[in-house]
Amino acid sequence: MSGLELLEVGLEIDDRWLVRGASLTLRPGCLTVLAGPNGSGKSTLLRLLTGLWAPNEGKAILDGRDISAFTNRQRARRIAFVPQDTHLDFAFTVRDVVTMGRHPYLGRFERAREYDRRAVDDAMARADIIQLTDRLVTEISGGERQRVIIARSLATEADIILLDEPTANLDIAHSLDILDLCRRLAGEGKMICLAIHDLNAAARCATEVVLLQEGRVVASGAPAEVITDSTVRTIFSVNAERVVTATGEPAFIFHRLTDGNGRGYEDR
Amino acid sequence: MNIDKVNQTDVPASTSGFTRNISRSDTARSWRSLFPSALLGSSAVSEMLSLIRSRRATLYFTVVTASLAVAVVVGIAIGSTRIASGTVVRVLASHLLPTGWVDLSGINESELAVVWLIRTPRVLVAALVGAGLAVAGAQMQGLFQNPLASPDIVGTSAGGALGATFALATGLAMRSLFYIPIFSFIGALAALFIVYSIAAQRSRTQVASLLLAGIALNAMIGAATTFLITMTSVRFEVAQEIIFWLLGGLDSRTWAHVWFATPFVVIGVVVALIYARDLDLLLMGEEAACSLGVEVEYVKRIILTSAALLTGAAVAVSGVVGFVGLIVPHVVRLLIGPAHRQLVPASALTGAAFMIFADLFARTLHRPEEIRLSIITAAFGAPFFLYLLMRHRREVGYL
Repeated sequence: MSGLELLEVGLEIDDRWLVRGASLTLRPGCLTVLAGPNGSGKSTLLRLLTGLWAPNEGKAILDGRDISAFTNRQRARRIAFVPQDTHLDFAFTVRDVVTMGRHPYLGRFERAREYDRRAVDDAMARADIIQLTDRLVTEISGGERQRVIIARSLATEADIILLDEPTANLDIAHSLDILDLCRRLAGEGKMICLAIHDLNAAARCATEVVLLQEGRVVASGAPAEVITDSTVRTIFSVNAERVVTATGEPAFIFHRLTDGNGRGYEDR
Repeated sequence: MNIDKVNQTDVPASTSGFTRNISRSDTARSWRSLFPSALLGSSAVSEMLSLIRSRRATLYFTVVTASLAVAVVVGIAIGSTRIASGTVVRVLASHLLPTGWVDLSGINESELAVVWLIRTPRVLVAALVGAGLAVAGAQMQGLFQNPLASPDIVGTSAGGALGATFALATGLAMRSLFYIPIFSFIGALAALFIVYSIAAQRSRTQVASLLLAGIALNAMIGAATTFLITMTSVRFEVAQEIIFWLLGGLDSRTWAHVWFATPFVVIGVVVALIYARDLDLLLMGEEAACSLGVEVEYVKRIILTSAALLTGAAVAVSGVVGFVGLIVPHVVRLLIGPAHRQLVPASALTGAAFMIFADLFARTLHRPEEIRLSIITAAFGAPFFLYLLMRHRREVGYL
């Protein structure tokens, strides 16, 4: 079976379960969003999906085999990871950084060949950064950097792309660009999974939402089914008002929980 | 150190005026402005730009190789008695080429001896130490993902010196020539391992924790070294010898030192070249490197050992010579970019040439006495280090 799934995984660090009993399946063409408040285990679950961390309990299964059975290089050809904290303070060119995505295919003494160069060009075109090719990554904007890292993940030709808070440091326009790019990639048949704390962003781009609270999966399914007033109230301790925008997309406005006299939850 | 936090707002970093890489970016920009913007991104332009960049590296390699050759000849020619450059070249050639190819007539015995037995080994040891420390610095900057790491600042050199002092103080050094290098390698490796396990938390080393760990370790090792010297104070000559050597210097180096240091430097450079791309990827952060297929823990162990081997070998033949491992890779990175495939050999050549010239200064500035080599490198290096720290603070706002 082709695809990536987590079966009842748990991860314990320093006597604390960061994630426990969580199951999750990524499907081709699906954009799965892991959502939840800070510390709910989004990033941990994402790292268990990448295979960078091994679970203490349960299994991470890639193509029907336990993910630990793959070498780093084999795994890197299937799963690409876009970390939240991207270190770009050494003056590589954008093309150099994207070419790093070809690492899992190149032998130790091999240099990028024609095919690799085409894969890099293609990745840069799809991430819309062709015009940045020869710029230094130290002198481009935050939104551009995020695209560069996404292009690097595309250059690996992995069909599974996992992104940790890809919009965290971006302004609204750049966030929307990145989310649209993710949706487009899912449309091309890739398996995309984002960890994101912004529920509106989750509702806008996801085909499937997985809501997390204290390391456990509370609800999962289509955004409209999962992001409801009751789940939002229990998980985020706010009221969600669902509105439909001019473009027909759902959006939420959040209010603090009140006691009916207009006083906030915390005032009681 | 976290540059992402600074660039949260979508303002290009260059507009802040403190671009890391002024010369490179300026060249690129001025070239770009020559073409109509419609052409931007077309493959012709990008090919041209990458050609310019690769030409730049080629040019740099040509210049630095030529400088190294000049440094070798000048370094041998200048000294207490001046020897003509032509003579130096002829003597060197006579040893490198088959016998009979080079005419040595007119060169007297003493000149032959001075060139081949006294000055050539000294210059070659200088070159090896410079190359070794520069490559060790480049490796450590990759390992710590931090442009301020270098053998002396994080205490690796001091660790090597402690090991060598131990060998000298206990008298082991008298029994075999190999005890000094073996102990200085062990000392360097231990120091590097300690500072790495203290300073490198969560995949990335903050400048402050790296420098503080380095200061603490340097102080501790310095105390241990002084203690060892005090213990041996009964034998005055030994203590004298140790102190003299701790200050770093290349006087009375022989061919034995050359043969001793060569394999370590060659191995270190080759290892750095073999793992060049892994080092590039490590600069992106350990998690990113791992997700791109690098066996991070394995590569880190290799690089750690290689950097310690280089530092240990350099310390064993020259004592503690500061700042070379910091400055050289830094300057080279500014000139030809951070990719290790070019950075490593370019740093080795630059470090070698720099060290020969520094030693030449040390020998000639205050003749007939010699200034200690570490004083010369510190005079160049310390202001540069302060400049880097200030620039870092301006860019990021905190350490």
